[in-house]
Amino acid sequence: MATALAGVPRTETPLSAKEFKTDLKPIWCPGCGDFGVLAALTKALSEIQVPPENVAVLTGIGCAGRLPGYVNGYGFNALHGRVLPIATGLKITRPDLLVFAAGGDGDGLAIGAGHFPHAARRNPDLTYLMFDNQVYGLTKGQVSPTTPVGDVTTTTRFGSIEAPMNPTTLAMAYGVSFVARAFSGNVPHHAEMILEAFRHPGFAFIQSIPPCVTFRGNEQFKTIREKARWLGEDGDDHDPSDWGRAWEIASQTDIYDMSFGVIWRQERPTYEERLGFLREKAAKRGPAELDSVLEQFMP
Amino acid sequence: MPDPTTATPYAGAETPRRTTDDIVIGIVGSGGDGVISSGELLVSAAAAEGLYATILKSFGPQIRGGESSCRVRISQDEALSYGDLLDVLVAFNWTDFKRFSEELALAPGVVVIYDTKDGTLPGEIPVNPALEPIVIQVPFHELATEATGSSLSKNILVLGVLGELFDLPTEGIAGAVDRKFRRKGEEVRAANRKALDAGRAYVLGELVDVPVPLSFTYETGEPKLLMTGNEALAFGALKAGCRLYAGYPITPSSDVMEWLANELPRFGGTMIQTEDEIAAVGMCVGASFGGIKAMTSTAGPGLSLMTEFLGLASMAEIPVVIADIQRVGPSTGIPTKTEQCDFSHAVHAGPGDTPRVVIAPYDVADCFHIGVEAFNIAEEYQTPVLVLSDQYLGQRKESVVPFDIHGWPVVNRRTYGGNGDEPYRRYRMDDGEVPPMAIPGQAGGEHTISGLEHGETGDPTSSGLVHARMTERRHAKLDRLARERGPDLVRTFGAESPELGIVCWGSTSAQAREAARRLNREGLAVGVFVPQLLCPLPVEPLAAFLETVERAVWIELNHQGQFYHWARGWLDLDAARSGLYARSGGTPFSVQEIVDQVLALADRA
Repeated sequence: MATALAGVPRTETPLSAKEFKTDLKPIWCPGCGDFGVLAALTKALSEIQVPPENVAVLTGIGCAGRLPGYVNGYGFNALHGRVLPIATGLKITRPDLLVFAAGGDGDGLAIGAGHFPHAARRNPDLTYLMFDNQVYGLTKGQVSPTTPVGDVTTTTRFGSIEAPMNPTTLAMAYGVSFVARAFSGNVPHHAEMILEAFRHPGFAFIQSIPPCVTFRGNEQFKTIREKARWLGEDGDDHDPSDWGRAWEIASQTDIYDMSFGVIWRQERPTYEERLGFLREKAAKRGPAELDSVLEQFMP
Repeated sequence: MPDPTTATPYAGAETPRRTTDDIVIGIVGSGGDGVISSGELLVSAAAAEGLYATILKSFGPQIRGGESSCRVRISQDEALSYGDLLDVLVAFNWTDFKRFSEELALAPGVVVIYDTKDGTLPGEIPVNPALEPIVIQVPFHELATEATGSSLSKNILVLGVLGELFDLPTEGIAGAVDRKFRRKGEEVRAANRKALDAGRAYVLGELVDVPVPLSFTYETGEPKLLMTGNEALAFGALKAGCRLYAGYPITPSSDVMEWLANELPRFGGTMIQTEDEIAAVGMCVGASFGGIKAMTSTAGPGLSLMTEFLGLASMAEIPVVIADIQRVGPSTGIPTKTEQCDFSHAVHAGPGDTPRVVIAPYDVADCFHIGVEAFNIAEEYQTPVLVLSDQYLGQRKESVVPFDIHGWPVVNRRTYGGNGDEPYRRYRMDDGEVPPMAIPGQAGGEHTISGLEHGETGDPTSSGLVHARMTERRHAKLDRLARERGPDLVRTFGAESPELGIVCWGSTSAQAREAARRLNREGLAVGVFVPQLLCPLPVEPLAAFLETVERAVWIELNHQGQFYHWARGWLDLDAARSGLYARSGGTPFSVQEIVDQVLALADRA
């Protein structure tokens, strides 16, 4: 069975979260939920004991896209919606790296939606975190694929008339092998979710809820914190291998009526593991020598 | 069965037997006829005997079982083009021939051999009688069934007939047939040998009196390699150290990915078939960010999807190789036919001042060299490199003089050598145009890159001043490339002191070189200038060539004359001394077409 972060070097002792922070000042608005995700990520990175030079943080475009610049490691703020192909290309050729991919709800469910199921079925050992704030923040307040019906935004002045998508049920339906939900207002729990994702051998998806205070109001932080339920706490005994209950939890779309925690977990071979088997088979073709390749061109 | 000896109703029967060391044979039939397999065995036989050979295949639009044709040219001297006119036509049936008749032009006195089973009378075949064809019917179907119990072997029987009729290397053909069926067991092998012998015996028994006008003469030599342009390109990439190929299937480029799917894994590499072309090039950019050499290949429709990543790779300065095996466009166009119509897209695609490199191989062997060179340039200049091949070059199989696969230099990017004592600056301005790249895993080199304009450290900036300086540095890389490598990445062929010139690029150079060879023999000094590097344009070598000739004609297989107009942006062309011959149409130029253009140029006073 595949092990998580196989081949990724580890430090002997945990590093401090500070070692994963850069001096760059985030462009995010004061009070933005993204700060909580950043804090959770640097905390999780410090605890997983991977040296910064072996950490790659990759993002699409949007508020979330700016994340790599604020994390000490190798970063790539790439193209809108295209983080998963980049992350997959990097991870399958450089299995010695911890690859963390992130993007917003628009990035992952609108422009980049076509890549999500394919990352799921390949199951590379990487983490994909979706900053789901239900709005386009960087372009200043347009409707997003997860905006609830009826919500007024700069492009839906009379209320949105399109049904929202649900990233967690989509992830489960696509066959993602690890699905969790996190809230940026609870940094220790959020960091724990990222750590769990790191420890999962395969493609791990986290729906993170980082409230957008600028375009979605100041109330979200307070209300979500009051209403949130935490899986595995307060008498909840959710078993993430229980598909039925996992689906029920994943089906929650009201941010004020949500359970946070590891929703679904399934162990299956990673892309890298299967690639190893494929290479063993292919080696029977002949040695890894160009002269041996040339033979096929002899008439 | 009609008597074949009476099936030659035209005056060609009187033609005396002429020897040749250059023969062009077309074979046409339906899916189950084994047309392509026959053609491939012929070139395999020729290459094994040390002859030059090339095969161009053509298929109908059906997925399976449709009509197919191939043209095979075998010659003692280098077979540069596919050969304009068929000396010999083999038709399993005339319905299929009609579908390909535009591509299969026949020579005067062509020997036409067709299956008796077709039923068409010799006088009613769809061949222009003015060509005075020698028409021979052979009961391929019947003979094959008699010899082997199955008509399936008729494509092998054909080879026996052709070998004996035209004095082709019959031993070589027998060897090629044996090699093909080596793994199928002794029974199959023996059956096919029988089919071959039955074909030869039929000629010796029944066709001895047919006045065949051609006899192929040759000297054997060292065996040659046989490969397609797509295979050669993929092999070049492997040689260059490519370890990730990510791609999406598209005609006529899929053979590149299929070949690498077989070969990369044993080298510790990966071929991954992605969900679309965007993901394909995206995975390459991701791998190259990690220091791994990566490529993708596609055709026009895929290239248009890759444009956003081309911009990112250019902006973030990530080496990546993108091959475009061009086909007829725009849009879906004609997937199975060739054109040089993506040039403008290749050199201009993408918003912004986007530097990129575009190079084009000019023959099958050159596809290997350009495969290596594309990576070398991408690595040295940290830039995306587009390779412009096309269906005609990518899918034709050609004999290649064995070359030294080890001698070709391989370049790797400059990487970070620091120890973290001073902050790493990915895009430093004080270390030449191409600063060293820190690769994930290198301690002290941690940094973030992006498609946003950035300062020296890679951090985003909105400063117009920084943007202007960075733009200059990115473009200075191309200026240096043109200066340093431009002179090596052009080829001149033909007369040493040419009076007339042909300027062309990519696959068209095959016919242009042959046209020049023909005209030079006739006493007209014609030279051919073929730039492999197209963007940045090697202006100085091109200008120097144009200086030496009185007049030059620019030839390319697209409607707009895309390369010609690009070049005019870089140098002043004297209208009185230049001509442009650009056409679409999906079929490669014939040699005669180019000869005519040069002669017209010569007549222009």
